[in-house]
Amino acid sequence: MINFQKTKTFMRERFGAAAAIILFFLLWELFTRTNILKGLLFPYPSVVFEELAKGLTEGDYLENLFITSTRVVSGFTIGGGLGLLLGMLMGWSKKIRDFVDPLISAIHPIPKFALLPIIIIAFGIGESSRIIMISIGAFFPMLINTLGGVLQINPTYYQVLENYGGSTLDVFKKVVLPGSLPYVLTGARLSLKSSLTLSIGIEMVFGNSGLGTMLYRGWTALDMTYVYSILIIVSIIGIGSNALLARAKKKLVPWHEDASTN
Amino acid sequence: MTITFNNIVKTFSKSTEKEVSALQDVSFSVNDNEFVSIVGPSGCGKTTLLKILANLETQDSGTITYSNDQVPESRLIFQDQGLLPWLTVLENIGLGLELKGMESKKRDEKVIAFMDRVKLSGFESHYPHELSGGMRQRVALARAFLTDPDILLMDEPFAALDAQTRIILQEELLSIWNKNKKTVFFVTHDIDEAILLADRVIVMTDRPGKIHADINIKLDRPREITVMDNSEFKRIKWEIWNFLEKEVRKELSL
Repeated sequence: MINFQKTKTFMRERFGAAAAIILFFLLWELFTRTNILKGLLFPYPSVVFEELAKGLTEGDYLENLFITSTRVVSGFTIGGGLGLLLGMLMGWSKKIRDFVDPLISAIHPIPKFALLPIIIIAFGIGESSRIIMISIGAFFPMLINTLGGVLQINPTYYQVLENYGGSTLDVFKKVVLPGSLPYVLTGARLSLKSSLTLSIGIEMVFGNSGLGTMLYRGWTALDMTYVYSILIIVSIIGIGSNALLARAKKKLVPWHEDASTN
Repeated sequence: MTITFNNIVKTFSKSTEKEVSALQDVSFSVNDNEFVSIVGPSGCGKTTLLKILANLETQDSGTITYSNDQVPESRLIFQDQGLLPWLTVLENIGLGLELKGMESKKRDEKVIAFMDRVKLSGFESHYPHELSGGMRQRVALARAFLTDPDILLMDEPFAALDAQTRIILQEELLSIWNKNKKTVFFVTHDIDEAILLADRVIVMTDRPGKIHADINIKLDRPREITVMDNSEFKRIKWEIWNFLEKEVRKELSL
């Protein structure tokens, strides 16, 4: 059954968001055409979009978009996957938690980008260094959120499973996994965001491929039209992945209060 | 099957505090299919007694023996939050059967048939947070009865409900129990509830919990709420209250 009221509200929200973005670019166009905003920082948005269209059809935008996306997805899968696994184990066993926690607490606050020199020296300037860096960035948000998700589960639910004769596997399937899932999905969102940030940053430093490298080239050439056109692509990845995970949350955790609001 | 408690002792110790004695020398026995209510002041170890029976706690000393020498299956019904929020009503009620390995088609048939009896039909795909407190406890009751345990352990199951809903659930519990007789241990603060439902009311003292009185309730069954007008009901009620009032005042003046 389709809920028309919900669909209507959803369409209205979407329409509002789109209208705000269009208005933003229209105002920008207006202010630049009337010379209220001028200079290097403010090219005409219409020209930016022209550049974007040209880059997508004739240029190397799609190729670099693919390169960056592949790095983000690889790092997110490896780092996020390991974070998920360790987070579950730490939430599951107090022994593992007590053992690993001091190490995690010590490393977690370090800005991960600051580790780049060490990683480069250890693994060289290649694809593996990039993936390792992105994985480290993806690992921590996933770990912290998964751990928090397992720990916040009401202990009564474990007692219910025990009272009904559930095995360890049953407890995992019926309590630990579904109970922590909303938090795991939040972890995934933050982890993906971190992956994208690190990926762009590293590409700026390494400078041979990817959207970060394109941004760097635009910057050094002082070609802001070009920079803005790349920024639009980066924003679309960010917004797109967020929307995808919000959808997944709605589908996977229909029982959670957040699912109906977000 | 008769269940006999022999000198059950349980003490809780928290590292920072002194030891708290929860149960002291609790001995009594319960007959097959007997409905036993346990009343007593807060913290007298009523819940601890249930959790020991449910194997969620272990006594420090003393034994529980079963006349047929088999450890019976017992199901605990919690005051609230006993349902898994991520399972639908259908899945929550079927959980016990699922964990026993019953295949889903047969399970769903049984669940749906029972849902009709506890007036939950039509709510199969609802989640617990979409239900009222009374309906949630019906789900918990259905889940427990469906696995057909030997013992039903109820830990203030209706305490979080409003007064009217509570009366309705009490009557429904009596009606289900009449058709599916089981041994029931029913912990409550509510003296009316304890007498209305039970064959026996066990009155416990303030901490450390000991048995103060063991009262047989000889009111006719099946019972309805109007039994509360009965003079015998009132006599028992004031007898229990006179004792509990003293215990509660003792606790308050500490």
